[in-house]
Amino acid sequence: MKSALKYLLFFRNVVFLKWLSQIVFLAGFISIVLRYLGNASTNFASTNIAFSWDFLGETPGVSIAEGMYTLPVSGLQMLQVGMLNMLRITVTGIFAATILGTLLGIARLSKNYIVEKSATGILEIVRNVPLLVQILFFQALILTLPRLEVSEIGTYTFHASAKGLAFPWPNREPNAVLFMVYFVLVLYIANQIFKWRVRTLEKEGRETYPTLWAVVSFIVLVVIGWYGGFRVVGIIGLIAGFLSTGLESVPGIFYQILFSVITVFIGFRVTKRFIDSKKSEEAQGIYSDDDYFKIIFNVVIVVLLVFLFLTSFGASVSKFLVGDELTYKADWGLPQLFHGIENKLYWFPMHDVEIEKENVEMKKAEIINWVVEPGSKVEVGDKIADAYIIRKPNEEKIEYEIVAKYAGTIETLYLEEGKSLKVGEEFYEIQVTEGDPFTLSRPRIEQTGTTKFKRYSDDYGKKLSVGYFATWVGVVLYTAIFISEVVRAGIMAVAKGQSEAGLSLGFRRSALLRLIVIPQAIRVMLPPMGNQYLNLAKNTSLGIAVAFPEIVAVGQTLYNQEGQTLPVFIVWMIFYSTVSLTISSIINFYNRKLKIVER
Amino acid sequence: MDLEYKKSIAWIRENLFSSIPSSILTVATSFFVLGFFRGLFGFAMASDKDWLSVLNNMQLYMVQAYPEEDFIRVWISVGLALVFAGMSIGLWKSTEESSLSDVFSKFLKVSLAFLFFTVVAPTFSSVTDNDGIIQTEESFPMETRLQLLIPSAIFVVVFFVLKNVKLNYKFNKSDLLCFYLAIPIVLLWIIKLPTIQLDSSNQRIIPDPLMPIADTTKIPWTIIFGLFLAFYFIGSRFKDSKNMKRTMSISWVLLPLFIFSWIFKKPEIDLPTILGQDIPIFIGIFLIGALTITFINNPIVEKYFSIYLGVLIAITGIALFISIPILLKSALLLLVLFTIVIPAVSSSAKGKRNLIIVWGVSLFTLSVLIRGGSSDTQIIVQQQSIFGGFSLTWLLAIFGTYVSFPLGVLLALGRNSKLPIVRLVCTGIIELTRSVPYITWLFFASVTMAVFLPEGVNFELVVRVLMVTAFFSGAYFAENIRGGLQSIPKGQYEAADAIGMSPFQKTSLIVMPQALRAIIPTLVSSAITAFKDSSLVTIIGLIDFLTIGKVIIGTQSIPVNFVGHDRENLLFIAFFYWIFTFTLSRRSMKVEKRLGLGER
Repeated sequence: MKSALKYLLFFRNVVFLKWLSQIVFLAGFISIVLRYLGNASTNFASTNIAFSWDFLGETPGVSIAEGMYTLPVSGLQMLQVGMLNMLRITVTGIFAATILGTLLGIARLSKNYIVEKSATGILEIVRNVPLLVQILFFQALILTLPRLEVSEIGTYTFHASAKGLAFPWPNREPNAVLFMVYFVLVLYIANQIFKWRVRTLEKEGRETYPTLWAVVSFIVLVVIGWYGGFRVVGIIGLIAGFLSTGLESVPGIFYQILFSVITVFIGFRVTKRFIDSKKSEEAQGIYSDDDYFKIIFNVVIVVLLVFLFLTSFGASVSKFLVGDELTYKADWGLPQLFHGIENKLYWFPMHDVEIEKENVEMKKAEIINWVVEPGSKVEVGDKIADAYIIRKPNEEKIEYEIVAKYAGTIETLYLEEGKSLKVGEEFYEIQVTEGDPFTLSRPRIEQTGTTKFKRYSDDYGKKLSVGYFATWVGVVLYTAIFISEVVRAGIMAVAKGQSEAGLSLGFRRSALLRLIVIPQAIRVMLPPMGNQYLNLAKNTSLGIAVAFPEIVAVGQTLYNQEGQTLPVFIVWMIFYSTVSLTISSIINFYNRKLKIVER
Repeated sequence: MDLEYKKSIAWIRENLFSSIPSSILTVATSFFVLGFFRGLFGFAMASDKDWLSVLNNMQLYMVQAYPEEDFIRVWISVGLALVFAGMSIGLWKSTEESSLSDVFSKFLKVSLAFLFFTVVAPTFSSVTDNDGIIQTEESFPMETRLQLLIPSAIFVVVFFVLKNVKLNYKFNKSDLLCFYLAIPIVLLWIIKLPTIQLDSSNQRIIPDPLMPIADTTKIPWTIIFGLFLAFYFIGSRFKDSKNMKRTMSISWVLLPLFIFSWIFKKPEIDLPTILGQDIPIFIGIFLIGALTITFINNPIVEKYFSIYLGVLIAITGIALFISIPILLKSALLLLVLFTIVIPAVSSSAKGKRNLIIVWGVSLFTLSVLIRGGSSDTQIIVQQQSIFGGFSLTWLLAIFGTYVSFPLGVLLALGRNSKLPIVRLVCTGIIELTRSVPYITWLFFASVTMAVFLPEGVNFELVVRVLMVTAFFSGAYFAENIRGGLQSIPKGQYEAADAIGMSPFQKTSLIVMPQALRAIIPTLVSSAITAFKDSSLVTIIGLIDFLTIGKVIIGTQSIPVNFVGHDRENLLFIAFFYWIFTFTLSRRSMKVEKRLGLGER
């Protein structure tokens, strides 16, 4: 009777009111969101710019100043260049800022008066000036250097001008990706050897030289790798090839059903665990109204998700997994990704060769006839085709020979005889069988086309553009200052007794810092450090002010071309969220790891 | 004297040359520091720098295109701020005293810095010409150096002696501050600065003639300083009055709003609207609030109070989405907020009377601000907005903080709520907003936001940027406030529950005051970040302080050619921002110390 009354007077039930208010809140929130989305759709209808993702597959027709592809063939590729540029600054910047920040933090704790005061001075200057002003100032500083045009054409070891900085650099060859993966593998192996020797030392108590073992094995493996051993990792390419073929052969509906089943399974597990927890001795199988609501809510969410997966949302996700026209064009679907890995990481990697500039006036090349055919083996310098150089102004043709740049087996010929292609576009694919992964080269200054302007050659040495330099230095310095505060606070948080105990045990100062203070300080430092890394990643977006083509700048160029502002904004949001999540999960991983060591 | 000498030798040995690495570090760092200053001075004094491009454009920097005939409004704004400052310094007059030797040691420091400059500054500086050839020129000749060196050395000696002669005079620190502030005012009347003069063919006369500072600058500043002093003395009269202090704090909060909506803007005053619309709304809403306060203890009212509140909230919720005067909307919102607070206030007759006065004053202030803020300005400018230069930077920083703070509180409470859906939505909003850099939100404001607005509704770019800024810094504030909420011990919640407080009372009277007190330092640093971040609007083409220096002056060719002089302007901008943020962070550290934060 009593319980019946309880449900009869449901409007006075706290639990009911609680959930009712939440559902009303959710409904209100969704209705506001829908209202603005509705506005958007009417506005799109009236301005004739329909919301669409098509621009991702279309050729944007603009060039990018620097990055992986300077002439992107699709909107997606263009965004990809921006993302990579942003990641380039973020990753190198995080390392540099950490090192610089740690040094500054230690300097601020120094007993040396002048060192401490200078570090504090830098801190107060950098921290209190907007980052944008600093970046613009570094840009202005580089622009005061002499113009590149006053330098002679030729090869230099180091060169600085108003166009940026250039220095020697090991440039990547087709085998480079294979070697880099191999290198990471070797690092891991050396680390494992080190750990194994340390374990032996701890178990048996004899000197086992862990560092020596690790270093020697590392050097030996790297040397073996350099002379061809790196091809071991080609197995990754082989597996990726199988995966790519496998993914393509599965129909999209399979994934939609798979996701639905997984969702139902997880929902079932969660609900079952919840019900089981209620059966424990403590809970005695009593369900409150709140619990009923929770179970109902779970079911509703599962049903909604399954519905989503079986309709257009699921279809578009499965397109990404199976690959369709759009993803193929943009090289973005999962099969294409695996296919790309297969090409780069096979025993003998595939490489697309671009048409190179034969002389300054060359704009296009036209193939007269191919000397080779798919399957024929070539050495470096072998003749591949007869071709014409085409100069833009009067389409004047000069005959010349195209020679092979790499040794290997010709795989595909992209260009038919009698057709022409712009400089910088790919015209045949080769399976590279020989050659070093990296070649060290010095920067070279060359003429830009027929104009009086000069530039650093892309293929020799490394060039830091003004935008990259200004953004990098600005962001690194700014973050380093905040990291120095984190480091200082972290070191100060270690109890004084710790270092005193170390000193009384006869530790040297450096060993004291390395073995006692820093390991304890890191625990305090990690979470705020992670925040600074996130800020660094977000601050790279200021590169747009100095014309550095990172994701925001590239996105802006793209929507100026296509008028699709909303999709670009969504891409920004997804990209930055992914980067932030990655950084914070790495930090959390280490945080957890350090905590386990502690207790 | 001998003992002091030995002391200082011991200090140097201990702090600079305690060991070999330390000595190496000392030498290396001194080398770098000297190199930095020599580079900086050489950079500043090279002949290709034109510092007049900064000096000559001060007006542009501060108010941009604001018309000169309305400059009295700018002066009133500055004057009001300084009068308030004087009053506050007087009210919160320092009890500390400093001796005369402290004062002289300050002067000694300044003259030492000057001596350092004259000794360290390089004689030659290098200029890169267009052909890339680095040319060296004498920018600081020996004669000039000697001319400066001798007086500064004399000053150093004089102040050193004065500092060490133990004079037993003590001054109040606040009085001293006024004295220091008087120095630049006096200097205004004495010094002469180089100015740009054009000859008949509009060519610049070189060298720039020295001229005294214009009357239009020094007379207003002197008057303002006089008022500052006057209010300083008035304030120190009332330094024991708690009410005055409270009034002053609230006035500070309202001052920027008042300046931006009434003084700087010069709103169009439309009498019929005020008489026919504003006054009835004011009277109506005021009466509702006043009646509620008066009859709150009546048993019938008490019984149906929650229903009344619910109806009120529902009406306000609907009112926000229909087209009625904005004054009515905001007055209703204020009424709702007030009605929620009423039961928490004491029920004595005096308490009620005070509450009615507070209610009337706050409603009146709101009406005045809304009327001023929503009316069209009568100041005609050629640019997109009357706000430009430093006034825009201030507008963005202050309004960003104003609107985002309550938003941050709401989001933080939502994220801390026990209701899972509310928590999920608030967490989603906070994290999505924070995951993207500010600049992308600015692009959202400048290009994407128009898509989401109903047809026919269009805001100015400045307003859109303000909306986005409020949201963005709101999400950051929310995270800070959440940190404060988590620092409150559970016992506080339980104690509030034990004495039967409603969730609202618990939050507003127990939790929030403690949480906010605990995070004052973080809030100040967030506000500083907002101030610094306001410079990003230059990327989307708003004309703020940075845009003036970097873009406008850097490309200015009429009447004087300043093309390419953006480096000195950037240095100036950096210095200007630095002064503000540095002072703010130092003040907040002092406030923190005074509140005893982190010592409980």
